[in-house]
Amino acid sequence: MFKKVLKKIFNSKAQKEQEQKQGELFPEPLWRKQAKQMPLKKDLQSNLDTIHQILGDSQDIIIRKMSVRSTHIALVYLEGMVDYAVINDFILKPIVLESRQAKPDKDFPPKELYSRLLNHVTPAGEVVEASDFDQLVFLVLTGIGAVLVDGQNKAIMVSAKGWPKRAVSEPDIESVIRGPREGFTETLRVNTVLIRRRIRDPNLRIITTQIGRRSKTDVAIAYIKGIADPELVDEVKKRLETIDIDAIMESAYVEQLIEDNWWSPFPTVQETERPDTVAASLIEGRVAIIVDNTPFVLLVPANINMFMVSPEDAYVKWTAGTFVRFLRFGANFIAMLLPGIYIALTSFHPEMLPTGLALSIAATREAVPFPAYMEAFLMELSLELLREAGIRLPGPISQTIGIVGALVVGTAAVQASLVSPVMVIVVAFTAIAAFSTPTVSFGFAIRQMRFMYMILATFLGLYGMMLGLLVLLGHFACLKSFGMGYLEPFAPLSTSDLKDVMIRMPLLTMHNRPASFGHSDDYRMEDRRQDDLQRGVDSDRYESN
Amino acid sequence: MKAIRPFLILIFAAVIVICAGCSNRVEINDRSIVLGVAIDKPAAPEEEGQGKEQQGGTQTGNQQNQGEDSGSSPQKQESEEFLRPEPPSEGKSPRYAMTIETPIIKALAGGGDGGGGGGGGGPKKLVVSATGDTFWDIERSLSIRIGRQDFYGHLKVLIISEEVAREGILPVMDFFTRRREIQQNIKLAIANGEARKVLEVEPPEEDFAAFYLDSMLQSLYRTSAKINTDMLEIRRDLTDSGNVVLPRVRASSPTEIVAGGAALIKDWKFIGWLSEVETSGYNIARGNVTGGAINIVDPKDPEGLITVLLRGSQIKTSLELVDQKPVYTIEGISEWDIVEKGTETMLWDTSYLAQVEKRLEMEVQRRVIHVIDKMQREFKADVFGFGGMLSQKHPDYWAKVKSQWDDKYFPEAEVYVKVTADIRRTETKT
Repeated sequence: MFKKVLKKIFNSKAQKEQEQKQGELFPEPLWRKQAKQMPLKKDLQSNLDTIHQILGDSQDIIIRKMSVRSTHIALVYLEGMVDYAVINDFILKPIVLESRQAKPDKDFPPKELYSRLLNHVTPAGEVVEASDFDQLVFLVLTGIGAVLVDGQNKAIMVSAKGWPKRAVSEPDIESVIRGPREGFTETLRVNTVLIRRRIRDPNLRIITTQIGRRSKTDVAIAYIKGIADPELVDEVKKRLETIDIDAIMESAYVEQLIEDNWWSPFPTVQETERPDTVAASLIEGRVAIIVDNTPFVLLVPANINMFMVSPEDAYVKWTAGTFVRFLRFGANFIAMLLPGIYIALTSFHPEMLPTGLALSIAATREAVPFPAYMEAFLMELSLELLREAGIRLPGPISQTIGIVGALVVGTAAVQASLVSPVMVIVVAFTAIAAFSTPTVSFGFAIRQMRFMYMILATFLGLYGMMLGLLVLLGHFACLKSFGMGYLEPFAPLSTSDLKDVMIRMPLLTMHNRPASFGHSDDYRMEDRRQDDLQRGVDSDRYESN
Repeated sequence: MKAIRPFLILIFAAVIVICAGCSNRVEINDRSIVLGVAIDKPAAPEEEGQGKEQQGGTQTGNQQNQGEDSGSSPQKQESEEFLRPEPPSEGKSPRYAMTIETPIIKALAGGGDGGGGGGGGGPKKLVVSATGDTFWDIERSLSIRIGRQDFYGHLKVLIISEEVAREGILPVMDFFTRRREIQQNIKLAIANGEARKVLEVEPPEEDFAAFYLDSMLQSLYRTSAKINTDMLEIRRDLTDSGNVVLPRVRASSPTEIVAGGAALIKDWKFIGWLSEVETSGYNIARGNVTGGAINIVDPKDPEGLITVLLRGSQIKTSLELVDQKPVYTIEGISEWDIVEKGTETMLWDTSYLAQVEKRLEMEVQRRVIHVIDKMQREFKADVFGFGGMLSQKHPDYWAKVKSQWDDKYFPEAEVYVKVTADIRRTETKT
């Protein structure tokens, strides 16, 4: 049975490859096939007909025909995707003015008109030429206006992109107390700007490609040339090139298609909404993948430590940062293990509890009709249910759900002797600990692991939990993220990187970039305070002019 | 290979899981958490004397006996149940009677709901006994008296009656050190009288006699007149020499336990009691003391008493072989505070203070010498670890004297005691 399924999977894979070679499994859309074969013609009307034929009867395609003297021209754009001010001021107005300013007796031959429009008249910033329908239609669909001139087999594409955008706002999930409040938005260009503003290095490269046969989503790779390992950049590019999918809806699609282990519950690609996190990572030599239409930017490579730190750790004093990190590491263990430990201790190893606690737990559990594991599963599942319901419900109601769930259900369940008060404390504590994980995807993994450890504890007690922890450790040791071990810098050990793991050492001690992943430029900073003290204050530097 | 790999992994996982053998899940509220255990001699059948020398009744005989007892409900009030003589036909009395003290969880839960106050309601603890020849036997026969599984992981105190200890504590120690769930920090005490009586005490300040006794035997910083020792140390001493000093306990009233004094075990057998003052001397000699008060007579006023409180001490025992005879020197320094003085004498006179210190030193040394003397002459039992020292420093000599150490060589060993006393503070008065 098992074998059969495996065979089926492998067979289908091989089949696919074969078919791909023949180019039949993923046939290109008909219009693209046609469009590629079709260069623009000299006849305006036939060009417009072809555009109409490709785009169909969609009402949002606007074709504006006009003429300069005797030459016909046409403007094609997508309604709603363009900025009307740009269309009016930078395309229509100049054309009309041009036609009026010219001497009445002078006629514009199409070629002259075309070159005048291209080189002199259209005052827009981004102007390119298109010579076939493939390019033309794609650009029109991204919000670029096309100006076609009768008698010319080329089109002038004037960038007039403008669509409803969400303003840059504070990210909801990775909020900080000290630190910038900006978060990424759904627009790629805004996001790259947010990164550029933080790093004015000319070596910051943002390379954009389109992924998705139908969606043609913009995906940008950002890295700093000279810091990022060229092999890593190549690897990222290579993996992105392998993606062949009809549409990219969110960066998670990209993440799932390029990550090393798709079957592991643990993420090997970090996602973030914060431009400062991305900038800091780029400086460290990592590569960012920015996907259009989502505020979540991917960062590779990622090890376990990166999922447990918040950018704020670097913005507060190092003692405070260290303290918070210890809290968070501990909280992760609590979120993963506490209900399992409760089951194991109450059902298998009561001798490990202090006597007073054992007696009071026994007393509170006296009236509860369920065994401890049942109680724990009941409460943990209802907690997850509450959480899910709280996310799905509209804002104001979700608070009500919280109150109903936490107060009413919790208290009533205890009073009805369905669960013991200690269990409620355990569940509440677990939930609080789970919320302290800064990364959502890692938090998800921890929550799933919790149930695995509860099952292990139910059957095997602490012994089972230790077995599970060993398996988890082995799994972590096997995980890789773009060539980087998941447990780095613990294993393989990189002592210099331990400065920024559990203990956040003072910034002054971090002279080099993290050694865990290779880069061309290790040197990061130098402590020059002593120099300044010896030299005295450089008066020129601070003199106001 | 690749095809069978998943199956291999499955098999390994199954072996790990099945062979571990820890799949006995028992909910905490389905266990009967035993807090204290008392070991007694069962009441003798009227027809015969005590079965002290008997090699134990047969297994079947006991089981029949237990079967008959099972009709009784495990109520404390019905303690006569275990006192009922055995059927004469069996002819033999079981060797031991074991009593456990276990909380009634239901009563604890009820008390919690009522706001923690009020000692009303039913009894909070259950004191059950069972008899048998071996402790496993008894432990299993307890399950026909209590509905829940008895659990010894939280055992606090083990009380052995004088009668049982006189016969030897080896079988008891074996059970309570071999059984895996029992922690090795439990307190062991010898009861002056019936051990069960001690567990039946209902102390006003705690819910359970075991907790009460445990906290009483916990530390020596308030008085040196009791023994603070746990299973681990006792095992060490017993395997070293077979001699150990254990705390003495007795139920002085239905609500009170007295834990002063000590019981002396020689060669795993009880041989005598030590008074509270002797216990104090023993503690000083072994350097166990961390506190406690001593009264001395005011040098200037024979009627008045001065109470001094120990603040710290450092005792060191050294050994020398002189003329093929061991000579021990117990040396030490101690610091004291004057905490009470019922006389009008003033303390600012340093020569007077020196006199007080002198008397104090004499008193301390007298206590130590007295207890050493008693051990050497009366009991002939080395409880000071002298033999152990000798075996470490002079193994050749020890090999010669080992067999007769307690009876011949230890009583002849010379012991010098020199403990200095310094008075540091006099509280807020002079």
